[in-house]
Amino acid sequence: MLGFGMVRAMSDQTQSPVTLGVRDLSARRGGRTIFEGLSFELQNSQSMAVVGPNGSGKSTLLRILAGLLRSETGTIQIDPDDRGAICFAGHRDGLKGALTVHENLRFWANLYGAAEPAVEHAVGRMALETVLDMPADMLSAGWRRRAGLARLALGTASIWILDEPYTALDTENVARIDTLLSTHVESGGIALLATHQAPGFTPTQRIDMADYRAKVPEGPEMDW
Amino acid sequence: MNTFFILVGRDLRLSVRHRADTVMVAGFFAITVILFPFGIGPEPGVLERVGAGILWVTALLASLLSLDHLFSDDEQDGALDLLLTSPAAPTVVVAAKIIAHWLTTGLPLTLLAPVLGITLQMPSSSAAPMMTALLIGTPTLSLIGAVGAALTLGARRRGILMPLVVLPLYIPILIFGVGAIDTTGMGFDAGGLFAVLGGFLLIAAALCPWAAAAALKIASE
Amino acid sequence: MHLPIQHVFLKLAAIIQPWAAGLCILCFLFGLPIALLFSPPDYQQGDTVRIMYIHVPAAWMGLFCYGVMAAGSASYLIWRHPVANMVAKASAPIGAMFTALCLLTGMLWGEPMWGTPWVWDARLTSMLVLFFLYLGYMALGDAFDSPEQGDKAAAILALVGSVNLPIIKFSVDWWNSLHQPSIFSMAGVSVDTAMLPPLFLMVGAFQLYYVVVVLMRVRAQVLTAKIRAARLMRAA
Repeated sequence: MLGFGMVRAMSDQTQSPVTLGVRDLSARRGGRTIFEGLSFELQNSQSMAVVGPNGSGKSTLLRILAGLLRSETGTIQIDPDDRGAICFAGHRDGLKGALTVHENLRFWANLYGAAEPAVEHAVGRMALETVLDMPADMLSAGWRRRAGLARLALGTASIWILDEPYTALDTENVARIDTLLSTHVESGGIALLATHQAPGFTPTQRIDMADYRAKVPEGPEMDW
Repeated sequence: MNTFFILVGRDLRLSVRHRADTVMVAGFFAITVILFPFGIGPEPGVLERVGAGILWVTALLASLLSLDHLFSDDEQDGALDLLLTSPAAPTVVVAAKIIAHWLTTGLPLTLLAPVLGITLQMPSSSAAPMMTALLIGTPTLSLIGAVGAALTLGARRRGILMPLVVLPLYIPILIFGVGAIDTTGMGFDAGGLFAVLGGFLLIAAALCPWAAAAALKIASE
Repeated sequence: MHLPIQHVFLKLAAIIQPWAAGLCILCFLFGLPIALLFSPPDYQQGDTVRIMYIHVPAAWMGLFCYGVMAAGSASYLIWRHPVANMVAKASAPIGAMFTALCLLTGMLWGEPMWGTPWVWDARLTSMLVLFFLYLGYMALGDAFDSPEQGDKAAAILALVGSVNLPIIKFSVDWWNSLHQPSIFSMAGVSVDTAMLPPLFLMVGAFQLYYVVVVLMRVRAQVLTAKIRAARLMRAA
């Protein structure tokens, strides 16, 4: 019965077209253009790994796509154009230490409009049953990460934007995330992840931020 | 609207878990008020005359101190990023946090004020206008203070910066809050003054969530 | 990427600045002696009224600078124009200085008129709050590691302050009428026609001084930004 709710959510996803595209994107941080001329498009069941050295703008790109930062130039097309379409997971998990894992997860589920069966499904996917009633600040880093990423498994968002999702996870849990990702992509979702490690999950596309480093020197712009 | 209550519920649940925070704010309020008789002297006429002012100034400071972690907790553990990328509109997030803040600080201060008024030898007839004034005025403090808290998020020396930014904006509420209590105490009708306080509340409620949400977006950049 | 409007601004600034500076000196040269020496004394206040020739333009400039700051901040937030922000940032210390001058001259005026340098006069009190609004704006703008974040936060504060300023003025006026029915309010000074020429000269002098200094400050900010960009380039 629990699985049934989830299957419904997933099949809704496959039916609706999902697009995440950017055209000629550039970003500035601290008075410096860090990347420019970035274009790509992802559609149903496509995923992309964002790689590149430190400071090349991986996190900046993901935060722009999640709507946390403004790009300097370029257009972003997100379809469905709905705030709930995107689920973002950054370096920090956003867990409230004073709340139990279950309470944390249920809050996000309510906010994203996911029903109770979805919460139980997410708990199952991340194998959180044993820590469900523990306050989140008693968890180790790896457990926190798992509890934080369980938000993805609620199944409401069709576009996942993950910044270094594998941090602090052991191989078993890396595999768990991989399964989560591939299920999501297979059922029609889009996933975008910035990562150093090459995971078991193989994204359909790959973008190296080093290729989009700003080529034109800054000088002339400030030369007024 | 449902989103709003989910967010308020979460912050209330958190402050129940961290109930020491609310107790600390109330404790700060009480100890600071009690300092004044030592500073001014316990003569009945004097304390009674300045009582409303002491209570309001102290309430401003207590509200301000508690605003310090209104957004910073969520900012530090990453929840703020997730809230801002969630289906909830940023203004709704801000408005919910402000309501929750008021319920856990402004409201307790309002309830505590008459008790502290007794220690300042204020007549028992002043309790009703005092609580009314605080009831209308303290939400405005939370609203304006939330803008200050959002603006100073990530700033250096935030503890000193916040008062400098926020306290000048609190002055109108202080003036009319004290005015309403004193005018009633002198036996006049202060209905107009309560209406002005209500007007401030409406203006603040209309503008502050937007300003604070804009400030939060800047802070998350 | 060249942004022509910024070129125009700096070119224009280079032309305006020497003229404004010259005119400013002229205004002071004529205005100060007339105001402080040759204008008629007031029948009630005697020579004390001469302080008004500094006090009133300073008060006016204190408000004017806040207006520029708010307008500059708004256009920076809406159109993201860096020059608008630079003008707003440059206006703050000048406005704070004028506000402080207004408060100081107000106290000097109060000493003989009220018998005490500070009375909670409605106008002086409002100016005092204005001074703190300036302090808050400047402190907030400097409090961030990322200058851009400081600029934006301060810009929002300037707008919040500009909404609050009339409310503060209204509140302080009401509060003052309740507590302090002073015989000599600073508002109550009647202006004789003989006072107008020196007053206008001083207003002109202060206004031109503002133009000169704000242009200097904006230029300095442009240079600072250039140095910063050059350093970042080297680091990259």
